[in-house]
Amino acid sequence: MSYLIAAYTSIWVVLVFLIFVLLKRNKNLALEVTELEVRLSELEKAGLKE
Amino acid sequence: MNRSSTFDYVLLGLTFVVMTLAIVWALGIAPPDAEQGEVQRIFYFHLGSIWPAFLAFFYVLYASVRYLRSRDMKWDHKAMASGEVGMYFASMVLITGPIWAKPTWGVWWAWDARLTSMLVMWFIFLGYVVLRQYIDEDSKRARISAVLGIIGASMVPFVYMSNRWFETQHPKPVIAGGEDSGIKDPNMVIALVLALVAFTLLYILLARVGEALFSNEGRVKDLRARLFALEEDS
Repeated sequence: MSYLIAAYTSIWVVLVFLIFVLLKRNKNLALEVTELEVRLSELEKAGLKE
Repeated sequence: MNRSSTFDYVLLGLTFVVMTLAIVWALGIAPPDAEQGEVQRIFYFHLGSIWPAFLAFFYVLYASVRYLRSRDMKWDHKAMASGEVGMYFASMVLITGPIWAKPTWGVWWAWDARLTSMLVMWFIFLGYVVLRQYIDEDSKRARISAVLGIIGASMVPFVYMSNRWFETQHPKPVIAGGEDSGIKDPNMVIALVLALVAFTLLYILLARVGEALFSNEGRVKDLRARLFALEEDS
């Protein structure tokens, strides 16, 4: 029974860690989107059009 | 930190608390089953996983129909995130099922209507997730995925009803399964409710994070292509 508790608890802790990593990755992607949007608008202001 | 990501962290905290309570109740407080003993405790996580899997696949159906009607990629991202998370939960059901079946039925697997239809549905959604990696064109990928998602989700009612319609090795439903169904011990009921709530919260959290990831990845890809085109011209 103690092995069962240890197994469930460890799986759950790993899962929470993975979710945390995914949230972090998503935050970084959102930052990259903002940066790219700024760069794009700067280039467009400078007179370059697609 | 924007409001959406703050909500995700709050949801993560809430999921953590409820899941921890579910583990404590299921493994420590709820009594062992009179017939099956300790092994029955896997039931809380087995049933806890199937409910969000069904919910996820129904959401795939809804989002896929919305995509086909609007051609808005937002719905494709929502469907994909839900489908992938549903696959994880369905995989958990297919893993915990045999672990429970061996000591209670004496076999790991039985080719009855419930288990077989669940496996077929799992394969359809495996195809749904894997197929997307092999189609580069966004609109074509979204269209084919939507059709496959609708076909896969249409199996949910059959899987759910299969052990009512057919004689199966799999037991009859615990909830709304007839006169003898239901759990009598209050601590078993609490453990089951906590597990259902915890897995539902986990589904919502994973689907939200997945959708945001797909959406941001698509946006980054699009912006990079536009920047590349601009810099090429200059």
